[in-house]
Amino acid sequence: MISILYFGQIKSITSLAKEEWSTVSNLEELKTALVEKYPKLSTANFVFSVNQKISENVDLQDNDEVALLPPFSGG
Amino acid sequence: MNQDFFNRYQRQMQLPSFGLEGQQKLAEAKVLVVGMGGLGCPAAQYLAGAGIGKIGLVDGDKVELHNIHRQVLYNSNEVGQPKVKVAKAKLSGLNPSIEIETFEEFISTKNVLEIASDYDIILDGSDRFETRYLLDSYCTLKNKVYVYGSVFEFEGQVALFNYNKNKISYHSIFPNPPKQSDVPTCSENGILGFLPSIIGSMQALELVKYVSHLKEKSDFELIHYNGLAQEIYKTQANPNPKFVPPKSDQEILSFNFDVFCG
Repeated sequence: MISILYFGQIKSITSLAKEEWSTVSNLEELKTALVEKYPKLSTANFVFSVNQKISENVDLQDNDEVALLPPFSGG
Repeated sequence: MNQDFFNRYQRQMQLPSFGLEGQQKLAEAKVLVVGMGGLGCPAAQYLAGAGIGKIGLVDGDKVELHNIHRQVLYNSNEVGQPKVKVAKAKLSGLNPSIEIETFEEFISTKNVLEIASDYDIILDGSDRFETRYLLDSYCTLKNKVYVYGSVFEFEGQVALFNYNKNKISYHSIFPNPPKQSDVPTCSENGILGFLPSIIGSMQALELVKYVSHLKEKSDFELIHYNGLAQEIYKTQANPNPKFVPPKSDQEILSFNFDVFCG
C-alpha cells in the first residue's frame, strides 16, 4: 500500500487528510487513478512529494508516502 | 557597541550557539519586508526586536478594522492610517537602535529594482502569487535570499529560497502558477489570527537562523504547518533542471507576472 497525504485546497477536494492506496508502479499512474476518483484534481495546482522529496515521474514502491502539495497565496 | 546593546540583546546572546557573533551578524543584515499584513507584522516585529540592522517595510495599504484581529501591531484608533507609517512608529519605539525605511506603495516590476536594491534578504508577507513570483525572480537574479511564507485556512508554508548552494527557487518548486482566482486568499476564505502570526514568526526564525549561521547546513526544506492537527510536514527538493532563471533586469521588468498568474 501507498500512503497519500492531502494538503490545503487539495484536502478540500478529497475531503480527507490521508488515505491508503493500492500500490501502483509510478507517479503518473497514481495521478491518473487519483483524478479518476477525484475529477477536480485534473485542474488543481499541486506538486508531488514522494517520501518527503518533491518528485516527478518516479517509480513507486510498497510503503511509499506521497503528498499532494498545493501552493498557498494568503498572507 | 554600548551598554544598551548588551542589555537589549542579553537574552539571545546568552544562547551559546548564538552569542555576540550571531548578534553582530543580525546588526549587519538588511531585510525588506514586503506586505505588512498578517505575516509581515509579526515577522517585522520580531526582526526589529532581534536587532536586524536595517528593515524596509513595503505596503500601500491603510489599516482597516478587519485587519486588526491578526495584525496586532495596529491599534483600532489607527484605522485609515498608512500601515507602513504606523508600523515604523511602533517598531522604532520597540527598537530605536535599528534603521527603518518605509515604502508606501505596492511592489511591482516598476519599482522592485529601486525598492529592493539596498537589501540582502526579502521576506514575503504578500498575499498574491504575482508578488511571490516577482520576488522570487528578483532574488534569483540578484542572488538574494527569498523568505517565503503563505497561509491557507489552518495551514501554512515556509521556506528559504535561493539560499544554499543548490539555489532552489520558488519557481522551481511550483513552476506553474495557479490562477489567483483558484486559490482563495484570507479575505475570501477567512483566517484566524494565530495562523499567520505563527507562520510570520517562523519566517523570521528561519531568516535569523540563516543570518546568524544557526541554520544547519542542511539542504532546502519546504515546511508545511497544520495548525488544526498541530503537525509539521517537511519536504526537500533537488534543483529543477527545467527552470531557467532570469538573466537580466530587463527580463524581470518586461515580464508580465499578472498574466503569468492568470
